[in-house]
Amino acid sequence: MPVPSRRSMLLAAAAVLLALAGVASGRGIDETRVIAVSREEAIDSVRAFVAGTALTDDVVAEGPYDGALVRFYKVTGHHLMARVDANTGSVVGVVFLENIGQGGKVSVDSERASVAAKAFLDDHSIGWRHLEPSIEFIDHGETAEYLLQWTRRDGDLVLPEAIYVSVDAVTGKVISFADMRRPFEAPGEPSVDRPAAIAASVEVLRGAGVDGEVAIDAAELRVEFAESGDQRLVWKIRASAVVERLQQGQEIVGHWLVEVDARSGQAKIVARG
Amino acid sequence: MDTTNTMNLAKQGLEPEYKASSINPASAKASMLTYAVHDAIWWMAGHAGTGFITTYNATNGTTVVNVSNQVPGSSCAGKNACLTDYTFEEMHDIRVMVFQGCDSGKTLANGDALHKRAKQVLGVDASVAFGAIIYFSANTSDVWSFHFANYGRLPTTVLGAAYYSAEDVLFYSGSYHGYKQYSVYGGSTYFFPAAYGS
Repeated sequence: MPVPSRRSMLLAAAAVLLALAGVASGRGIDETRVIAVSREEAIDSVRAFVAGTALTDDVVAEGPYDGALVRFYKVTGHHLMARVDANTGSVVGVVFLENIGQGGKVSVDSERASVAAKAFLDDHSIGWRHLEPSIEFIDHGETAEYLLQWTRRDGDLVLPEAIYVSVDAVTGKVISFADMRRPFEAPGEPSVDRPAAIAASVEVLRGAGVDGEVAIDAAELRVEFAESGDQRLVWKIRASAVVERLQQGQEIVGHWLVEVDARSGQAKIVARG
Repeated sequence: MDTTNTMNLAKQGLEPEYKASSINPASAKASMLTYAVHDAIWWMAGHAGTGFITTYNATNGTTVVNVSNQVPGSSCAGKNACLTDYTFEEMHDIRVMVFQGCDSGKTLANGDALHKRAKQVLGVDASVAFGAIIYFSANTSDVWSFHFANYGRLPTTVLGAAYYSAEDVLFYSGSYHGYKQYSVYGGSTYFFPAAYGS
């Protein structure tokens, strides 16, 4: 992490004042979203992270942007994109496009991909050993990669700790890395159980005009965060239904992602497919 | 598209939930039978499944484009209802075809797929589809399409834009929402500045 500069200290001070204003107005404060890093420092973080990799002088930083977990800068250069946590200065995501073996033959097996991914994380001191691993081969048409995930659950509860590393199936090199971890508190038990959450999701879909039989494809209890920084316990319900049947019998199926607050039971559609 | 859990139920008189339209540089052409022909970019976003994608508008209702008549339950009745109705001469000028819908990149039993045919048979420079259920943002502008379209300006290739945009979905939404399962042909194609394909 870079040493804070005078500019970043000023940014932090301004952020504290804004946070205090938030307290005065009754709004919550998300300390992890306080901007304490400048764009220049974000670029410096990326240069340090990809040391040994050619990083051209035309690299630029944009943002910060509000993400699902943190506020981040997007740093782009030739065939490279990285994301830097605007609070900590840590690189939380990077893509090396030049490591994609376009048009080549798949020659890397899952074991070799796993070794490459773990070495990458170790080289950057990113802890993965306490997390549950999984691996998926993805055929992208002309290219292919292994997506390795390290996640953490507490029983059926999905915690905000996930690391993703993609390894090209031709070159064996790491293409991308994403650190989706954030500190959290033990959420306790949900007030809304799974059947009640599913019922609430079906009800909100009915309200949106879905009148066919709704299939529940998945229901996950997750710890997430509101934009205010407040930790939330939510059910994420994946549902589908036939929305139209054409003259020849061809079925058109719709998919929805419904979020149900596990405390209040309030449900809303957050995505459609 | 996995329909095994949908229990064979049809909608009765209701419109599809996602009212997408074909996004074309020349909207007039989008309503014609030969829509998209002579356009540089063909972008369809809506409900889809293995070998087909749909759009919806209030005038024409649901429009389906199948890759061929091999899509279960489909028909190629009507002009240009299937990609097999199009010719290389009509389509090869297209720079990029995007089929943004669930499972739009999955292949039929005969190996055919929307984006694969677009590139390999119809001669478009690049094509993009998806091998999984993908989600459109319900309450904000769609993250993937917004970023994909903008990455052309870096400039980056179609493959690079598809890769970067999937990572954007992860960081903004907390999940890849299926976009990591993009499938691209002609990935080394650049699409900025706007131009016809070769």
